[in-house]
Amino acid sequence: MLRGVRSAGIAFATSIALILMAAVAARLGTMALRLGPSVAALLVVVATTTVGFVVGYAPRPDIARLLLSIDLALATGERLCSLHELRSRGGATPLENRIATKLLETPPAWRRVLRLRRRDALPWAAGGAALGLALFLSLTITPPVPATTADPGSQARAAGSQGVPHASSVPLGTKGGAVAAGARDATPSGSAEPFGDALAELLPAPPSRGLLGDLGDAVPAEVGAPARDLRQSLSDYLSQLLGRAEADQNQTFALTEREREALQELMRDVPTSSLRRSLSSVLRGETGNALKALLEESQRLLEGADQGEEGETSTQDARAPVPPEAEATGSDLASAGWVSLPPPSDGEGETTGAGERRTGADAEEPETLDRSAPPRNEEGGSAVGGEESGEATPPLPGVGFIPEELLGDVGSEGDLRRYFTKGIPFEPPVGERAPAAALSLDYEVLRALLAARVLAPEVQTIVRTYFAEITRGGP
Amino acid sequence: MIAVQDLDRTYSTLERLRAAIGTTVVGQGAVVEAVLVALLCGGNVLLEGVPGLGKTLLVRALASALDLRFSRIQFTPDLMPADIVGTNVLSDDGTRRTFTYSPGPIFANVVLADEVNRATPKTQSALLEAMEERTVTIGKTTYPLGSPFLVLATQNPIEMEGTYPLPEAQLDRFLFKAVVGYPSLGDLVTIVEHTTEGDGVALPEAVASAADVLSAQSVVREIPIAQPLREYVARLVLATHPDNRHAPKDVRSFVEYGASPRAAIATILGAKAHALLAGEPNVRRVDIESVFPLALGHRLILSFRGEAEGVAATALLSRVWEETPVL
Repeated sequence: MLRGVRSAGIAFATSIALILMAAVAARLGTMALRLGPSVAALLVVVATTTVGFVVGYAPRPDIARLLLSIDLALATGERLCSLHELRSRGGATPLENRIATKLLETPPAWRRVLRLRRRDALPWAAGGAALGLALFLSLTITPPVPATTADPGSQARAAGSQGVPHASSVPLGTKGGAVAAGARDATPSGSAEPFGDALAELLPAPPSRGLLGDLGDAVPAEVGAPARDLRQSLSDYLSQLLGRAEADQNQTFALTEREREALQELMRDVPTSSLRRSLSSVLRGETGNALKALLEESQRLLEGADQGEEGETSTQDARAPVPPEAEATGSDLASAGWVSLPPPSDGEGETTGAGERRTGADAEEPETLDRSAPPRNEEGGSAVGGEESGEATPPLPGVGFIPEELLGDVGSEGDLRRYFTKGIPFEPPVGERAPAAALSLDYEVLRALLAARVLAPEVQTIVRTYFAEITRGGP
Repeated sequence: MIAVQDLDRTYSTLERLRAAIGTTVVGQGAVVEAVLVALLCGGNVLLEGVPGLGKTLLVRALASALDLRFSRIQFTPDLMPADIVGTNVLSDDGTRRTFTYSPGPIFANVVLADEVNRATPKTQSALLEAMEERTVTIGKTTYPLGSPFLVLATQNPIEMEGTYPLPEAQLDRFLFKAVVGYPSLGDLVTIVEHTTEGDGVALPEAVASAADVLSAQSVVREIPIAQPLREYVARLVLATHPDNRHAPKDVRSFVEYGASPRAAIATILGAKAHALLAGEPNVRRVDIESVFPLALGHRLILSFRGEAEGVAATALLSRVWEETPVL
């Protein structure tokens, strides 16, 4: 009994120490381990302590009996246990050598003695099963931990370890990257992604762009916030270029190659044809005042579109689809306002997120997105240092796209890419109550859209499960 | 502590002894082995068998091969204890008369007590002290017996009329009880050949001395037996007790009293001697199995039911052996 208590104490202390070490390691981020709740840890401790008690309480094996059983199994003439008897007596005797010699004369059939009897294996099997069950429970019964209490760095590593690309790992070096960063920065620093794992499990493949585009058509203004990001980014960028044009006294202002590429990227996703034509004019290679006039024209067209949409937004129902102009572009991505990340640059371009403006030579320095940077919606200013958008609708939190690979070139449309979604489009930051409109999805519309997309049934199931998961079972 | 030379000499002595006895006694290998084991243990053997099976010849051959002093006592109903242990006799040397002790036939190394159950219990009991204590007490004087000392008693199981069955205390003094059976056909032919041709049966030449026997007896006690096997023997003996929870059903039904602790001693000591006789350096389970019925066969006291149904002690011991696990 005393030995059982002693070994149980040792097992208890060891398990506690291991759990503490694991907790510290997880806290420090050196180990991608999600510790379960205290119940799971308690289970591990109890199981380990119980096993320790049982092992300690169990009688220690009698060597002589063990040897005799081996002797009987091997038919060695009980020489092993007799040798043990002589050794335990102490003192040299010629019989010892005789026994050893006779023992070596006949090779024993070890296979007969190595058979594991059921009654011997049962206690070990039971103990192992209990320990395995405790470990299984500790690793599986782990409800989502609120991100506000978790280390963002470890979250990022955890996401990376699960094969889900994370926005912070994408370098931003171009204006397109700046725009995408604006979308990513819509996620507050340390914001929650409680369904990130569920998303990663539910979506083995990236979600359909077209589907998301259709969703963008159907969802209310808040949901279409990325469209505003595009406009805002374009507006900011045009303002930046205009500022450079005005500052140029020699009337030699022209777009650099990088600026042209960035503007081209932005233009590609512009849904309004008139604005796109205007931007095409800008890219034609005009310089000086002509270029400035073209920029002003584009800016005006863009502001006009903004005002028109604001007017629409204020009057229409939140569930109303977007204007048919967006559909006229024929691009789901554009109609939803989704923007793409340009290919990573060697270092030129502008970065956003810090609320500071970088132009010209300043933009030569490469920079990567820092998740700790204040988000746009919290700063209340433009990501590129532009003026405040003044929109009441906050940007979509936790949303972003990460380019995965270059699929090809589709004529004048530019590069064809595939994207991963980052975060949950409709997920409000932790601690904030979701706006009523944010969750007022019309499931009939969604279902109709899914049906219209001719998606495979399993994909529809995934989408349905996903929305059921994030809405806890229904609207 | 024995030396390697003692061990080797013992092995060779036993080989010679076995071969020498084999030249005189045809067959009866188990009985010869039992007698040799008892000799190595320093115990006494009760040989049970009908007349004419060579019991006396075996004892004489053993004594002859060992170059030991042999005496034969024919037990009869009128045999007195003094006829066995000796007595004080009045002697006159011409000047004065004194009582001097005249040793009886018990003062030998190998004593054959032929048909021991024909003597009265009073006479039988004269052997008790000699068999157990190796001494004889006459009056106020105790005389030690020679060493080695071995009593080989025979009894006839069929002629029970006019006999006095040995009391339990007397039986318990015998290390083994060996049943001498009829020889096989081949053995019988050989016996006939040996006894009817030539000079008849010739006793073997001495191949060992008393010192060799005493050395062998000391070696026997050095033969190791594992602790679990000792426990096994103890459980075997306890299983012969009807009130033991591990006792077989037959033992509970037919046994009145189980074997005494002397049975366990006899079994372990006999197993050691058996191992040595077999040239093995340690006790094996097969050694225990060989001596188990010899050591316990005469120590079981059957109940009335057992006696009435004619249950054999050997059958009960076989059941005990089968139902008692080694571990």
